Amino acid sequence: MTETPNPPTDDQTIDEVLADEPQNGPSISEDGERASALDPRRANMLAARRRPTVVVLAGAVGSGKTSIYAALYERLGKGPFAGWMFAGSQTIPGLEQRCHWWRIESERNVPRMEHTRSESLPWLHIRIRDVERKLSAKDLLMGDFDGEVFQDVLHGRAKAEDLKYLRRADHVGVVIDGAKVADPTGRANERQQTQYLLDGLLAPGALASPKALSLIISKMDLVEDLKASERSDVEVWLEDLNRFANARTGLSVPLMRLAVRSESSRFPLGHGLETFLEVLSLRPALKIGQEAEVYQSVTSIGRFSA
Amino acid sequence: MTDLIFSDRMREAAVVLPPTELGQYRSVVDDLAAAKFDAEFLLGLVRLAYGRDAAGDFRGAFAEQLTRRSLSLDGRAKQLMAALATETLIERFSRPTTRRTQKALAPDSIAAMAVVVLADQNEPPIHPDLASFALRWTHALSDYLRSTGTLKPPPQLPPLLSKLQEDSETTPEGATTTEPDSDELVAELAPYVGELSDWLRRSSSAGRVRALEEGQSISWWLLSSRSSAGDPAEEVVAASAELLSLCSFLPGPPAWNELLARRLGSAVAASVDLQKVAALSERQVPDSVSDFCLLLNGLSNYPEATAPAKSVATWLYHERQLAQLCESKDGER
Repeated sequence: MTETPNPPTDDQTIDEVLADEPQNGPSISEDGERASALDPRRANMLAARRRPTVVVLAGAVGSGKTSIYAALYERLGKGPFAGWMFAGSQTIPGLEQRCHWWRIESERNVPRMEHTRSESLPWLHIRIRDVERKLSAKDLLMGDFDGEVFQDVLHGRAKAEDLKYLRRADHVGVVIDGAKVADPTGRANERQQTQYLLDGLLAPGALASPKALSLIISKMDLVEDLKASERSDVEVWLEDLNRFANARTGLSVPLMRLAVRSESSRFPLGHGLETFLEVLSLRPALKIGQEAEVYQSVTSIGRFSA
Repeated sequence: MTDLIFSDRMREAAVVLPPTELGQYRSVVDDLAAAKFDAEFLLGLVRLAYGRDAAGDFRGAFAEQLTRRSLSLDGRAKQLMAALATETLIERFSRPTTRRTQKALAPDSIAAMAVVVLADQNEPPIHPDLASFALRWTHALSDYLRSTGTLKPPPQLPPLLSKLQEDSETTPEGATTTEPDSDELVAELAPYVGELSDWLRRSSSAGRVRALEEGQSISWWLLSSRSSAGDPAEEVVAASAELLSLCSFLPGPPAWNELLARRLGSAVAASVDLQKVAALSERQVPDSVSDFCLLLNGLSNYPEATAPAKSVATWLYHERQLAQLCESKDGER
């Protein structure tokens, strides 16, 4: 059975959220339907009304980027979690479509997500609200971009600074494919690719600030299924990679461990997304500015110091 | 301002703007920043920049600029309006304060002081750069108004006059002296008198004298202020009122923090009850800024709170200045 998000019991329902948009506005497509995803123009119009938190997950094809977005939607649809509840979306068909792949594939016991194509509209939208209703609703605008774009960056075929949405992103999560990390033969290559991608993303002008960066390891359940000695190797591997990211940014880069759609009962739907939401809600906006220079007074009274 | 800085600020109301659209928004801001607006209009921009509702036809002003560039302002584009308002204010506060009269600068001074007051109240604007630009504008203008310049020595006596003076001092009484040619004397005297008159005008200009007197008054105020032993809230109210009363120009001296800290003495770090300060300082505030002046309005509907004396004194001092700037309109005291 298809699960849909719970109707919000919040003071702002989905219908009210949509009513908040002008007639024939951007959340509704030309034929009056909700959009599957937002093109840049529609995303801009949403941002012109309320400041959204822009999230971009960067990683190779099949690393699990789209699954994370879909799991977030599906998990919120099951009811409040991690202190947050679903409060609407302008792209329900697109989110449903992404969950649909899971649902039909899981019936075959082979969970798989359709590869996001470069021609797909990139922006997915979810509005969330804190369960206690003390805060105003937050709009998450999630960039679901083709993994090939990021493969081009890590191979040096494209420059991250040319991907303008990266500079706009409040959060850029570098997604590491847990399946490749779990495989000892693929681990070294995954590390090299992640390092190349980090280097590409940290090129001058690509991100608004290295503070936007976080590391996300997907499919963590596959790592947890390894023998103790191998798990220990993976832990060392992850620590090394985290150290590399910290050294490159000069910051403590968060590392999130997700197993959003595991076959194992040990990992419920959306495992790890609590941390993901916490990171987003702790810093919803990355405001990078250019403050005015401190004025140096030329008068003696202006230079008075107590 | 570079395009990158502009686009980084516009991200508060956009995701990825095409370069052409970005350029058009930039020119909207440039035009609004160069236009002549009164204080009410600029205070409305401040309200928009802080996400508040603003009366006045701001939508009309923005819509007109946008329509001229084939851009449209969505009926509910509150965030975009706020970002454009912020940019417009930052652009205005980035302009030099020199070469314009105090009256022409007054609307911007009022808007900048309103931003400074909101910063004292820890209210965040849509983009944090706004507060730093408003503060810089206030400092620069304050300094400019008090600038006494470097006064050159008075002009030297011309040779003929100098000789006459020397002769009158050295020649014994009754002795005959050679009188200089009157035409030559007049020719030398005319430019000298011009230079002397210019020097006198500079040295005793009203602005210079007022600035020097203000500096002297504040120095004596600091020297004679007693060591604070009284109630910190009363000290805070007294310090902010006294400093403002000594100011010859608005905005007051740029080192206000330091001046107030010195006056507060040992009470500087004391914790002060905001409600008490508000009760002691409540006064009639011009309608145009009553929503900015929380302390002067008695802090109604404000939770009970305490804050360090120095911060509260600065906050109250800024509110008082904002009210006075509005009452004087042309920025004069």
